Amino acid sequence: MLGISTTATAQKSFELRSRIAEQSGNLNQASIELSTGFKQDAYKDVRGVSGETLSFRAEIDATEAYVLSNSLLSRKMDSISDSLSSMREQAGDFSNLMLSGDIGGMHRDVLRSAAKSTIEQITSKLNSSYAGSYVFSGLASDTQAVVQNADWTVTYTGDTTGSLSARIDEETTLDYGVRADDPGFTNIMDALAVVASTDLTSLSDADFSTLRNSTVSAMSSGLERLIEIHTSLGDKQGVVERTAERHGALKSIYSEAMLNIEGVDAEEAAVRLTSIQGQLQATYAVTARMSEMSLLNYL
Amino acid sequence: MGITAALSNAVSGLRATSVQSDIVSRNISNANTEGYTRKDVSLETVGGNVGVASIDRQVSGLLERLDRGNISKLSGQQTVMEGVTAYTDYLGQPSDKTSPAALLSNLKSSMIGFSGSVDAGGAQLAVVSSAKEFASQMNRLSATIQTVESEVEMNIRYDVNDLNSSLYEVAKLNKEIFRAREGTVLHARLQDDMGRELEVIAGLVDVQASSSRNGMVSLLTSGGSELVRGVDVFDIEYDGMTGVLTAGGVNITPGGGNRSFSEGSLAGLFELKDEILPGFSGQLDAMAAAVVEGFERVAPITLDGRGLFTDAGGAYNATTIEGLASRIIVNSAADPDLGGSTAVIQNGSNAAVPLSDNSLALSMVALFNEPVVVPTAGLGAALSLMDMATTMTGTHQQKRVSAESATKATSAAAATISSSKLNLQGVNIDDELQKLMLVEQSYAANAKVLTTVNNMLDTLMNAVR
Repeated sequence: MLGISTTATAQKSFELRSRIAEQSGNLNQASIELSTGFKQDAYKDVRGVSGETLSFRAEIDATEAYVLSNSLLSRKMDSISDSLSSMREQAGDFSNLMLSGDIGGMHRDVLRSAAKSTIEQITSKLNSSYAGSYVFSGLASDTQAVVQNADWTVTYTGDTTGSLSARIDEETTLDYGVRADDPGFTNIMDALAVVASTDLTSLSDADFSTLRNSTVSAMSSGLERLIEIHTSLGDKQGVVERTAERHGALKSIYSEAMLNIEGVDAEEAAVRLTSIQGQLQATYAVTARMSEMSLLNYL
Repeated sequence: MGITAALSNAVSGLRATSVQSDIVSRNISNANTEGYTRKDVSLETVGGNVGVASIDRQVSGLLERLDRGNISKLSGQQTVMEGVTAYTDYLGQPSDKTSPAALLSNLKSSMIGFSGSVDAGGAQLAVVSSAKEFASQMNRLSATIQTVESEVEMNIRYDVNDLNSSLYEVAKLNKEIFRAREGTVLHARLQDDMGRELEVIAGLVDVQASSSRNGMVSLLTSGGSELVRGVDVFDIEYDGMTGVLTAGGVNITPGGGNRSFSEGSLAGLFELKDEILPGFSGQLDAMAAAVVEGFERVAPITLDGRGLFTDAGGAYNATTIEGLASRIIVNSAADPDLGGSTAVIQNGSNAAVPLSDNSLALSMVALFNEPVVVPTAGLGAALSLMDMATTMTGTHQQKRVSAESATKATSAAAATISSSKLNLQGVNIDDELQKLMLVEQSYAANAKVLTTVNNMLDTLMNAVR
């Protein structure tokens, strides 16, 4: 007698159950991916490149950190640049004042008090701080750059070992510091101190003229140096700006590479979700029908 | 011949149908019992009477063997997958930012921010906090592996116990099968029990089972070591100190000789214990070593020469790398929670160093991209610190993914065999109901024969009276 091959009842229901379980799992995965935009298991879906996506993420993190740190640096440099501008302006104003008018008609007292106020203004600029750190005192950002003495001279109290620097990307360290003991400042301050501490009214015209000439010459060499410093700072600000642009571009490259690995195409995930939903509904319908089908119903 | 023969035939028919209905009802009631095989009644004619020749189990030796092989394979792979997953769950997805790679990257970011404003207490604290997060995650991962290791050790003991009791069960069944008469319901039931027991054993180790003519089963490991011969059991013993597994004194440790076995949950546990977990652990320790050694070399922050990370307070020591991942901590001199000061990461514990001197910070930032000088435990040569962390995280996750896909592939293949086996051996209720209808008809017919013959006899008696 030929045997009849049948499907076992338990196996039939087991198969339907495992199919539903599998489809539910897929549905769950599709819905998670659709809502997060990331693969549920990035390591699984991109075999072999899982280390890569972690590297991309590390690059993104580092780039973001540089962007943040450079934006702080850029603001700090702006503030140094602003101080330099105003110090240049004040020193320049004094030089102009000294050169203006003929010697005899000049109010020498006014000149002297102008020298005093210029010293005070520049000193306060040299002692300016950014975010709680003194910026003209070299590496000793916790000490004032200069102290004004009774004789109108100023003494540098900062650090003499180095200059402020920052790492602006993986390769470049930028020295951007400007120190108050730079000859640019000391020339100007020394010249101003001489004017401020001399009784100008008692000087003969010839002596005054000599003093004026030496002061103007010292001031202009100091100013030239300040222009040099300012220009170089401007160049460095340009470097930071260009680095920021490059970092912006880098970040989008890395993000794209990372999303290529970890990201999920929203349309694809939505289509997948719909199709799995359809399958699951069909399986439910079949399961319900099958469970109703039994010889028992006809006995 | 004659009316009495008809009576006896009808009675034998009734008896046969009662056995048939017994078997059909057994089949129906056990339709959902795992390991139950469908029974059929073979009938024979004995001198005109119908008799039950035997109760047959519907089995295929080939399918059973294939199915048991798949059970072993699947069970081994599942065990490996579960063990690996228990650890990799702590590594998380790339977007979770819980892996050593993500936390090291986080430390680097803090370090970059710090190098730009070394005199800012906030920036210093950010570095120390990120460093502490990294160190404690390394400790946690190391502890997780240790937990998994002790679970594995415990499960080996459980599996050995289960295996021993199953082997004794097989021996006991062998004894009963030997006594039971072939073709009886009892014999068929004992063989069902044997089948179930062999499946349990297959889940633990892959075995070769050979049946003698009367259904007694001998068991050998796939490598040929005897486990059960007739009613004799070769006891399985596990020595936790040496990690050696023996059967009746013969070494059957998986991976430790050709007389052992390679599949089943016990093989999976040994693979976890002897290969996978020590591998993970060694690489975590190497990662910790690279970090402790690197910071100590490029940027000592305390006068004793220690870097940002220490080996439980001590210096890096190339001879004690094992277990370093569990001991790595942030130098307590830099940790405000332990009475330290974050300023040491800027001035290296030298108060004379100006506040905005960023040389230590720059060395530390550069360290992340410099080649690691300690052994990498197989992660690769000429790796930077950052690459080492990403490679390690990726490798460990890849191990899980491989284990998962192997399990999935085996499970798909196994489902086909298992479905064929179940369809062949299992019960189809509709089919049984149809058989029952036949039995019912046959019973009714035999009963009708009986009453008719009875009427005939009555008629005869009345005629005689």
